[in-house]
Amino acid sequence: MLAYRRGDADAFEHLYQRHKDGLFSFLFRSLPRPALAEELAQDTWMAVVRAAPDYEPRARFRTWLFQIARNRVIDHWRRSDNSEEPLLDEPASHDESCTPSERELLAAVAALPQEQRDALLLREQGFSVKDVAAITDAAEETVKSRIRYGRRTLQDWLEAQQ
Amino acid sequence: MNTDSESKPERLPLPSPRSPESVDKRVLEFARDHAPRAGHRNTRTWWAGGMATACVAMVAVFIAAPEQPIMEERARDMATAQEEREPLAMEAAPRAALSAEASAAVGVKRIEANKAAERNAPAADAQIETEVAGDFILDFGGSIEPQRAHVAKLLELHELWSQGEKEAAQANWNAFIDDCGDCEFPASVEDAFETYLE
Repeated sequence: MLAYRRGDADAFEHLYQRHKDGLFSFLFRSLPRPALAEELAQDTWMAVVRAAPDYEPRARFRTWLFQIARNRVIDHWRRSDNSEEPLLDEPASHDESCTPSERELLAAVAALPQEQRDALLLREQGFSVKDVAAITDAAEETVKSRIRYGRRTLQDWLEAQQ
Repeated sequence: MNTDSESKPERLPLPSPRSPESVDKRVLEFARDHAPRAGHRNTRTWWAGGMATACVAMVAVFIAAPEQPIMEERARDMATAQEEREPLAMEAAPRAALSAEASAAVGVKRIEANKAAERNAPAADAQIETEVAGDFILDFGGSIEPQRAHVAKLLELHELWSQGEKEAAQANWNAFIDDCGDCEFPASVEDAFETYLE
């Protein structure tokens, strides 16, 4: 990112290749439609590009990147006034890109309270509890609790499906 | 103690789609079109420390230096005026003398306060510089303590590296690691850049 800030356009591509799939997965799992995930992924990366001239390494790049993405997801839900949030018994809109079991699990994830969902999905991306706390601006103990409750809810749901 | 959230839990069988090519293309095109100009630097951050120090120094000079003689002069004038008034208004003397003394005392106190401020100015500058430098402290996480010296060193070596002096940067990094006994840094300076300065 520092190299890109100095005008090295190739440095951005290197950075993008490294993080693009992880970021897209997070957005794909957080949003009800793949098209939305595409839109917000693009929006997130464009925000990174716009912020490049003022970029200073205050946190790990990946943490910062996901913080931007999560803010975009929250903004999306606020704008849509939660009207697009699918209910557990509604069919998810990931029809073509997921297996039936993945679709069902995504629907169960979508039914979690947003804080639990974010914490759980960020943890699934390999972030430590500390990083999740930084991204979601919450205390580490709160994050642990959210992950625990979210995971338990999903496990109950998965067991009920079997 | 590992909690269920800190240990590596079994991953949920969630889909992990790759970023679509259409998005990749648009983002990379946008990034190329909007790449910061070479040599451009965020002016706000690099001169902020110097500016803050200069402001504090200017305020300290402005308050202390010109006011000191003025206040001394004012205190002297008040004392002189009081001396001149004394023979003319003996009956009013106790109250006037009290007032002049009080004013002079205030003047003297302000002079002393200004002198103290002047003495403390370097400390205030150092405080501001510390706060500004604090902005650059990274989260090293784990067992590595966030230390400004490490960040400064990495940024310095990154500059060297980007000028093509890769071997010098690595040699410098090796020496830095050797000096920093308990630090757990990556052996390769390039890895250190990727880990901490990405």
